[in-house]
Amino acid sequence: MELLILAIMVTIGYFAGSHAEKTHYASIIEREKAFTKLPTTNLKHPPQDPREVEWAQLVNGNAVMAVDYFKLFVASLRNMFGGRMSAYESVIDRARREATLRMQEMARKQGADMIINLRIETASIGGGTAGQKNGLPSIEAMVYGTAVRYRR
Amino acid sequence: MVFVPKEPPAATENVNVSPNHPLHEFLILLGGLAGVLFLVWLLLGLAVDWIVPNLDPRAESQLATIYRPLLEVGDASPTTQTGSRALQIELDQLLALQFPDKAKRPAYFVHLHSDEDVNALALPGGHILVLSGLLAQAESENELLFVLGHELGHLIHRDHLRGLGRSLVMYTLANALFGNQNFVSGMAENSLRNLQLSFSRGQESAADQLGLALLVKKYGHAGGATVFFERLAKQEKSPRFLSYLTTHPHPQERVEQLQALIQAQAYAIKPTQPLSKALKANLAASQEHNPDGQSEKD
Ligand SMILES: [Zn+2]
Repeated sequence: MELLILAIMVTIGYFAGSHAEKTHYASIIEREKAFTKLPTTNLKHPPQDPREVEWAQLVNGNAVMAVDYFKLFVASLRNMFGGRMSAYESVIDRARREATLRMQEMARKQGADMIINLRIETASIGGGTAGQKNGLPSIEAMVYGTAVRYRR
Repeated sequence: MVFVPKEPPAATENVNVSPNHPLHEFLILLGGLAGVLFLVWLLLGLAVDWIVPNLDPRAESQLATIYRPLLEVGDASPTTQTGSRALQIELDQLLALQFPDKAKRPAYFVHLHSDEDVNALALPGGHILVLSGLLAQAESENELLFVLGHELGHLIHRDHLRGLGRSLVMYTLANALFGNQNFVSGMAENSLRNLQLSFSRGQESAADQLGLALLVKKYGHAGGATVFFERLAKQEKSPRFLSYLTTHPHPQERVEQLQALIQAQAYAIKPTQPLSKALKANLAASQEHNPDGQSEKD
């Protein structure tokens, strides 16, 4: 019985998870294309520019990405044998890119010309942290940087 | 430094995500897990084959505590108690024949269980469980003794422990691998409780051989040995016999094997003896107790 429930959860996880991943990646790539005109770097200072900096402002973006049962199952099998945890790679990648996009969205709304000093933090939520004992792990990516606007 | 806008890479060119299909990895890992489990299972199975012949009788009786509720049900009513006692006398006689040296004679117990199914089981701890349905359809003492001797053969050969050992191995294996109370150990415990004690063909014919030898030792002839199985073969479709058929090989096959054995050993076949008075009285009482012949089990 429990085996059947597990099989159902893993199957749902696989189909729902891969569908969500596909649509999310399509959306990520589309928005990243829209933001190609907003330079985002991890340089400490803005590159040399004849214009004067009008203002600088902290901007940030957050995204929490859940792990489905299929990925969890594959990952727990992977834990037995070791090796690349490829089941989680796309989750991390999507969380980081989604958070970056949100930060860029914030900067765009403020009218920034570029973002410098980009930093990325990750944390896991659930799965033994944040007071949850047996929760499913989720991955949080937190991206922050300095938005700069030139005087024009 | 000049800023040159660049488009993001396509999804298939993402360097941060492995390009292989998730199902591919899933299947490889699952295959690896199955391989590891099979290997450990095989090794522990070998360990069981080594442990079973060397198991301490005290450890065995400790194991039997799992089945205590079942044995207590068998002892519940006074009518089955007298029946158990009558069967115990028969069993003790068989034991005396098999182990003439009293110091080496093991303590085995027989219990009568009120149940309309026709079956007898060998349980850990040296217990034989006889269902009253077996008594009800028996016509002679000889055939009853043969069935008893057959189950005794399982106990002497420790087949019951071997059958249990596999489930026990699975139980310990699952507990060690996945921690306490996981679905695999739950399943293993269920199978321990459900007494899936079906023996191999070789174990069954070895038990049959011992039963036959004891029958000849007691009565001086092999009459009645095949009667029970001949009846079983005829009434194969009857639901009462279903339980025996699921735990034992096909009766026709056993009749043929037994007849070949009887011929090989040149055993005589003489008329059988009717059931003893004590068992008959018990039969009448249990039918009185249970007039429709309906099972008391739920
Ligand atoms: Zn048997």
